[in-house]
Amino acid sequence: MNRQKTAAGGALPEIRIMMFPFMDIRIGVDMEQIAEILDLAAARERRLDLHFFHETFFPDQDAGWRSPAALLLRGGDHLPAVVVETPQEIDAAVPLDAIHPMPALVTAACPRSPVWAAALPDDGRPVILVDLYRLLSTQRRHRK
Amino acid sequence: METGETDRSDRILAEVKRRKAADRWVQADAETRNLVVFALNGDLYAFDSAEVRELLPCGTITFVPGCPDVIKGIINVRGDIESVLNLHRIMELPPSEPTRASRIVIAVNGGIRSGILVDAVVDVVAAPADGVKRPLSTLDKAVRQFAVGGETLYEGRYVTLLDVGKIFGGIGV
Repeated sequence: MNRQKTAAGGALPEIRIMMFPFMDIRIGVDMEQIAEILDLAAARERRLDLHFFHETFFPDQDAGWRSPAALLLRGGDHLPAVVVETPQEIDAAVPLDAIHPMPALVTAACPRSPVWAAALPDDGRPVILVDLYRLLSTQRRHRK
Repeated sequence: METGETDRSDRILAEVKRRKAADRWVQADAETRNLVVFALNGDLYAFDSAEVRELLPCGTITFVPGCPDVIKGIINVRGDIESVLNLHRIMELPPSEPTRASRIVIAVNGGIRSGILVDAVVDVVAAPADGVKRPLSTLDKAVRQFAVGGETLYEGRYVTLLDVGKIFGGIGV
């Protein structure tokens, strides 16, 4: 699934993301982090180590899933999967110029957040970019 | 695995920041005594206009998961992302939902720029230098910590001058 386009000089002209809904916003995840997208039943059959996306932000709330999917992370054996709402868009190209660092006050208020930037696609509605590996690290910290 | 993949996010973000480095901080206007008077929870407050860049209608604010509720979210301002602060929450006032009168004040202080959501912008006025008095002793403690020089009068009502730097400092910068 290595769809990353790389310029001759090594700079990244764009990244490719998948987007899924969370509450009333859109979350974007770098496709490079995703090895496989499964429905939740299939993920349970494979006895994957499932982590629910919403638990990082709202650990005591029921997510009220409509159509959950499991994102199996890339990078080796025994990797966990993150449960999210079924993605609305997969492999969407986002030019680096459309990616914006989080404003200074947001970074100051949540310094160890798995949110790493926001993307502004053509429709102008910000997409919150989340690093799933950091998300899992955050969940592990919360559980300690 | 985690370190390598996390490095990738850092690398992308560093590239994005490098591309944006040339840019956006607008130089502060010359010092003025103009005040942007706004309403919050039925009372009047003001920012020094030298710290205000623009006033925006309150459009869609995108919630950022994991942020404390002093931050309402982020907005798209002509292709840039700005944070929006929840001044009700910062000053420990009763919560309020945005209305058609609500405005986002884009403020700058100490190189930090952010939107601040207010109930309504009332006026932009020139305050006489001798019109600013010490804050009322009855001023709420949670509000007083963000007050700057004191209070002035606008059409017979007290206006508390707020310090944008103190508000930003309350967020942790």
